[in-house]
Amino acid sequence: MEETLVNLEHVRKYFTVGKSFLKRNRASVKAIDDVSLQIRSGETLGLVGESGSGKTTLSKIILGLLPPDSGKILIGGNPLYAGEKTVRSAAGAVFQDPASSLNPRATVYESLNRPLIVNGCSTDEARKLILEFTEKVNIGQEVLSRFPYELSGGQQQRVSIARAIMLHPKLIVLDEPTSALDVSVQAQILNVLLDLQQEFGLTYLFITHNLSVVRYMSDRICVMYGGKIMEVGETEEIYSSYRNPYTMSLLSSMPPLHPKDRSRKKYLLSGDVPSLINVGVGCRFCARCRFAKERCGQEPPELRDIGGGHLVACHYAGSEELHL
Amino acid sequence: MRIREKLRLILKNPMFVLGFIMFGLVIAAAILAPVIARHGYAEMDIGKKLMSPCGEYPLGTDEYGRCIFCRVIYGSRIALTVGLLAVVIETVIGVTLGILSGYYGRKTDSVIMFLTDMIWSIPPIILAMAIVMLMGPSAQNVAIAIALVTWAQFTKIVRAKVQAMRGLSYIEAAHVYGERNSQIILRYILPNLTSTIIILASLALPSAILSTTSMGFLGLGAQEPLPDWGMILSGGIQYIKKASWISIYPGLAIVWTVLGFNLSAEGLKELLDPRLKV
Amino acid sequence: MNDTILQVKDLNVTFAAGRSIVHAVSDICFSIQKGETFALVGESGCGKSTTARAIMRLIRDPGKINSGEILFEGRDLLGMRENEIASVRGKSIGMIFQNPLDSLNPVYTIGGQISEGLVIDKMEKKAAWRTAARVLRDVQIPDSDRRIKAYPYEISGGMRQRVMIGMMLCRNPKLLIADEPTTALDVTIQAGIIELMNSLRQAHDTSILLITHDFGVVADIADRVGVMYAGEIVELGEVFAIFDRPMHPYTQLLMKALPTITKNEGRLTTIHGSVPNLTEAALGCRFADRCPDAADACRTTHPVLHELEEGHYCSCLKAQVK
Repeated sequence: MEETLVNLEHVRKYFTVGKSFLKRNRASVKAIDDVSLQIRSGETLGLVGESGSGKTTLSKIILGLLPPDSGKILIGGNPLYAGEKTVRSAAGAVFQDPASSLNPRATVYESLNRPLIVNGCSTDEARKLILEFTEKVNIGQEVLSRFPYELSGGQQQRVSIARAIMLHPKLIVLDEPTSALDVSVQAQILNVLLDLQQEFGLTYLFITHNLSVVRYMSDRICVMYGGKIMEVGETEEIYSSYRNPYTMSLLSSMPPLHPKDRSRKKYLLSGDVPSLINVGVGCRFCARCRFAKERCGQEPPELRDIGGGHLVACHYAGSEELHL
Repeated sequence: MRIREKLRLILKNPMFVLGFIMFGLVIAAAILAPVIARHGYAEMDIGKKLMSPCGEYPLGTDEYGRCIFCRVIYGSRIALTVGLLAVVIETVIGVTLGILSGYYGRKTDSVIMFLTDMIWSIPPIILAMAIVMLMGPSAQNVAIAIALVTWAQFTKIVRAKVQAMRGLSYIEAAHVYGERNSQIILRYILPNLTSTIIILASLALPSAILSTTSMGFLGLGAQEPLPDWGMILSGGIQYIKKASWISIYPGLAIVWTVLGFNLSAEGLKELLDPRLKV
Repeated sequence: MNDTILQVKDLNVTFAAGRSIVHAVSDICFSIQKGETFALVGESGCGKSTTARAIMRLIRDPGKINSGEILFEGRDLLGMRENEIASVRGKSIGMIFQNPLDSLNPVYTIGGQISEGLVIDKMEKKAAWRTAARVLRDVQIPDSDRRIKAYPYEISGGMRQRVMIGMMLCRNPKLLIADEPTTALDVTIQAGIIELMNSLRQAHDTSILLITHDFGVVADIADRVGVMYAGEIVELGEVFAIFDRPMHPYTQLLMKALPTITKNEGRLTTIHGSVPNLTEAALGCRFADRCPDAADACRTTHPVLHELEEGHYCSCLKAQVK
């Protein structure tokens, strides 16, 4: 039985640009516009998008770091924000840069201890938890007294994972956790994440731009572009039966797994990453979409369910006119 | 363990050792002044005025027959205490405002930056003179005046550093697992600023000492008969041809102190940085 | 062979670190033919970037090229004087780097930077500026008449990388060295850059030395591949041979560590241990401590590249036995 752990409804977040004492006449960056999303308990939802897609802003909102301008966010049925304040955040976080994820002036033990103490653990309870979890992420006890600069990237990232999981959060947000790591180290980290997920029944929001990694790790995938969701669905469904032109471009841009695939058809995008300030009325992708029609520039597409939990935001998804 | 090993490494650096000894001697002079100096700093002997250096008066005497050597030695107390006092006040004000400005941003930042820019734009000597004349000339007041005039540079630099730190992942992680802002500042931001603070303080101390001696030169520092180096130096200018030692030796003392401190400050910074690999 | 553009023989680069010496690149040999794309692939610290910089003679203190030959069209680059190598750089050998923001001078316009190289080649200023405009169109920069007067910070990362490519290729170099050209870019932008490099290469018959850690990029455009580990080339061959029949245990494990499957199909293979300390000279095979198949001979004999099938070289002792 799958219950919904995280529920986002019509979330919007704009950032104002420039300094002027008058509140009007200030341009706004529409980072997240009307995003609705559900994350089921125990699953890994892969969030894919490029620069300007809004995935980083969305992850900050879900982590409780950034109150949205409007919309509801429920974690475990409880609202995450009350006005501008964050109600107790229920998530753990693992970030992209392993080196800046740990306080350079604290030992590994202190970095792991602090979150536990802040959340009410006693010194002894904390010690037990630290020893238990560092073992689970394959960090030896001798590492506990070291400083972050003495650790390798892989080790630093494993410490971050232990820190995130030790508090038994409902949701773990992983923002490009392996992008800064070598291939062999990445494999270790991904294995650790999968083992921990199985053992503790964790829910992951896995944000990445690496399409092979997201296919490996995710149960479902959500594709974002220009602050909006383009497509959501089961991983294999998205990879084999995508319905959104942006998804098509994205997947065809993926580097091949074998040289024999190098002559595959690539749907390259012309133009540049979308401006989030001068946003048109219609679909965010229509300026670069090869299938764009008049309606696309005038009316923003709704995110519709086309069956089996596969959601697409495109006026012509599944229709005869779209030859994907 | 790490500190001991690092100390060994630092002691191998000749510049640091030299600086440490030089500055150490100044501190020793300040502490052991009554032992080292044979005469009091105010002790006059008009019969022996303007004597060139000799056995009893190793650095000669001034126009009142006071021993220059003894005055320079006792003067180290004034220079150090005033210099240190200025730096401490300056650091506390500057760093605190820099952290608040950089961390909280928005309105707090605007207000503090406005204040900083205002202070920054006033010529320091003029402002310092105004403050001292208001409060009355004395060594402590000079220290306070200097501090009130120079904290702005601390604030600007610390603010920039804190703004950079705010976006780092370990600070975000701290927010996520529930640290309050005050704790984040004390436990995460401040310890990572120690390198910066030490560098700034090490630049500030010699500058403070030089400023106090300038103020002393203008007669705004410690008053007679207290042996402020700047005062002694300025008082000796009129005798520069007949009794040059009156101005030269306090001048050398200033140079010695500032140089010694600068050389050793670099080593101190390395000592406190956990990234220094042994 | 007269078609060989670049030949690297027994190249050794070291870095001084305190009292010890780091052997960043040890005795590597490879060659690049005219019009081919050769990829040097490996993880961080394997020495691939150092090799690229050595070819351009960009190694500075505390680094040093200790020994070896780098023959470019028959001329030894290591023996040249500074002004000779400066005339080779940019003109005959171009280089693009990972982070295009760092490689473009922020205070000069894009048009200015592109035409600068052409002016050095004795082109007249106005002609150089017109050529720069044409270059921007060739690399598909939209709105190129306006963008030519723009500064680097005003355009996106993908566009900057295109400008770099254009800048380098407009002087018709024989060899283009691309050091992680797409790592900092989005996937769709990356695909565009790779297509661009391919088409420009075909148009000008330029050879490319591609430095990367991404096997996907290798599969996309490389003709031949050299796999590097701990400063050495452990396997060398045509791209299809490397992907279909990897012979060195490191190559095999690395390919199995790539996420090419879904988690339901199994776990990724990991390589236990970590990269060896390069300050110690290699006694045996540098990979022996991490190799699941290591024999005693592996720790005492230093393996060398042998041709195991036509055009396919491997330095593993065990692979040579089979």
